[in-house]
Amino acid sequence: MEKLTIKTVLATLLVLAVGFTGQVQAQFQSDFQIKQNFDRDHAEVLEALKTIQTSDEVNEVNEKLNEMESRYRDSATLLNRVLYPETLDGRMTNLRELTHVTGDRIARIGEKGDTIVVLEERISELTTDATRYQQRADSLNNQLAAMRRSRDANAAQARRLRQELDKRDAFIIKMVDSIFVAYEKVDLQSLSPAERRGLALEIDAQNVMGYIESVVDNNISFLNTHTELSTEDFLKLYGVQVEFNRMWENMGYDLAQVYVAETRRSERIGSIVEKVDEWQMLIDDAAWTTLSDAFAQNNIELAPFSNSLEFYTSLNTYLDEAIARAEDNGSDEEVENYQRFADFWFGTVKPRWQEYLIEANLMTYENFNTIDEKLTEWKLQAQPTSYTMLILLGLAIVLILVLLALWLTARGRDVSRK
Amino acid sequence: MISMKHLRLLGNISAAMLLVFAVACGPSLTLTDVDYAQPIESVATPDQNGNVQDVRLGISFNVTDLNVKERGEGSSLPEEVRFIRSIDGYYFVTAPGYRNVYVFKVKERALDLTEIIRVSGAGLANPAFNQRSPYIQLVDGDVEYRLTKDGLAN
Repeated sequence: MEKLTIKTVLATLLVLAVGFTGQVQAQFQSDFQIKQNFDRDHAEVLEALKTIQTSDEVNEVNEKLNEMESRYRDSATLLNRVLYPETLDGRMTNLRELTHVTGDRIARIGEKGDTIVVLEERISELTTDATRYQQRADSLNNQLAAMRRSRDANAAQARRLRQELDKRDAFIIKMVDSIFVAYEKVDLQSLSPAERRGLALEIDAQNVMGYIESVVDNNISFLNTHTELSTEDFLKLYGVQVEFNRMWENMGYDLAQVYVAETRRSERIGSIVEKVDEWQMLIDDAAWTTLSDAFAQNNIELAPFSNSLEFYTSLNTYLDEAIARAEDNGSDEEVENYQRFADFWFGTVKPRWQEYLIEANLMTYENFNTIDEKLTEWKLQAQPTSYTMLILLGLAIVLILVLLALWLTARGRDVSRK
Repeated sequence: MISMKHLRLLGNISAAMLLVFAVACGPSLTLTDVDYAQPIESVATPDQNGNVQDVRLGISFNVTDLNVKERGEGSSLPEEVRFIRSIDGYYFVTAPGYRNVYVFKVKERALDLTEIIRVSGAGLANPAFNQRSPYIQLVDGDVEYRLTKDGLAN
């Protein structure tokens, strides 16, 4: 009993001593250190939230947050001042929310699997971006409409607006690509109809097809109202159309399977296909006409063309004929013809258009090389035949004949001696 | 009868009165209840020229002369300098190894030393300032000092 009492007294003294020391230390803690500690704890939680993968780890983070709340409660006034305009409560609430969202995500992954959750998030993220782009595109379309009414509309303004729309089109194409890539990772067949519906609901069904259709609509509208753009601009637009076609052919039908109700599917797809055809026709017409005009303005009369094959054939025919003509009769005029074509080819077509022609699959590098080789040949053949060369040739023939005569004479003498 | 002399005197008095009136009407305004207290001390590392700064607060100054005063000519700069501004606008500056806290008053593009407070014979080991208006608390391990612009408060 006595021992117990001594033990109890000693324990009590120890507790008091520890408590007292703790109190002294707490009393003289540096405010700066408190702030440093808080920043470190805050950063640790954020770092943990980036990597945690199990609900146990989420619980650990929640415990850490509880500890932080009790540790810094007494320093709230100080931290509120030094964290201004944020507050301690604000920071803690933010960490709690992040932890909650992370925990929720981990739980969903547990239920649905990683791929589906990642896909849902990606779709949600893209939908937000797409909405933003849509709003900007609407505003740009309004500007375009206003320009149509305005007499002072000019090509430069149209080009600027077009560039903005291009960014948006490129985004939509990328978005659809991205969604499709994500879908490819999911075995849609393995999902139940309800799961598939749930997945599709993540994004407004109208939006996906709506976005696709709006790219087509915007381009048709633009091409119908802006014919003043340069060849380069039209070739760029051709590239957009080609890229869109690639996307549409790859995944348009598959997306429609997911996002359009069966009863309306064929009608919806038909409507888009019709518009895509119209877009193709318009850009074809605009691009080939402006390209043909550009050659004509440089006094290069190509045979008429209205598609990439005809264009390439027309170029080849023009060059083959020129080479054949030059072979028969190289002349200063032929050199001039060559120079005119070469100036345009090396000064405009290659530096300014080659990139877009290749991107839009209208020509290949090999096509360009072939044309370059033919130009080299044309250049050689086009040179006029020089009189000096003819004289030299004549002298050479005379010299050969003289030498031959001398040789024959010498041979005749040898024979007669024998 | 008012003579020319009286008129001149009257003129001079009028001019003097106008001058006094003009001076009295000049811009004069004092804002009161200003609280300069910096909520948390600044901890800054001197650069090779002895400059320290707190980007957040937008203040920088040179501590070379202060270091010479504390440690003598040719001594190396401290690894860190700690400073804090009190409610009445005075800066309290010290550093690990220093025996004193230096109190400065703000002047136009200068800090004017107003007080040197001796706090440790052996030099401070790990000093830190806390804002405890109207005092500045200096803690060093488990030792506490309460400072005012005039010296130790306790």
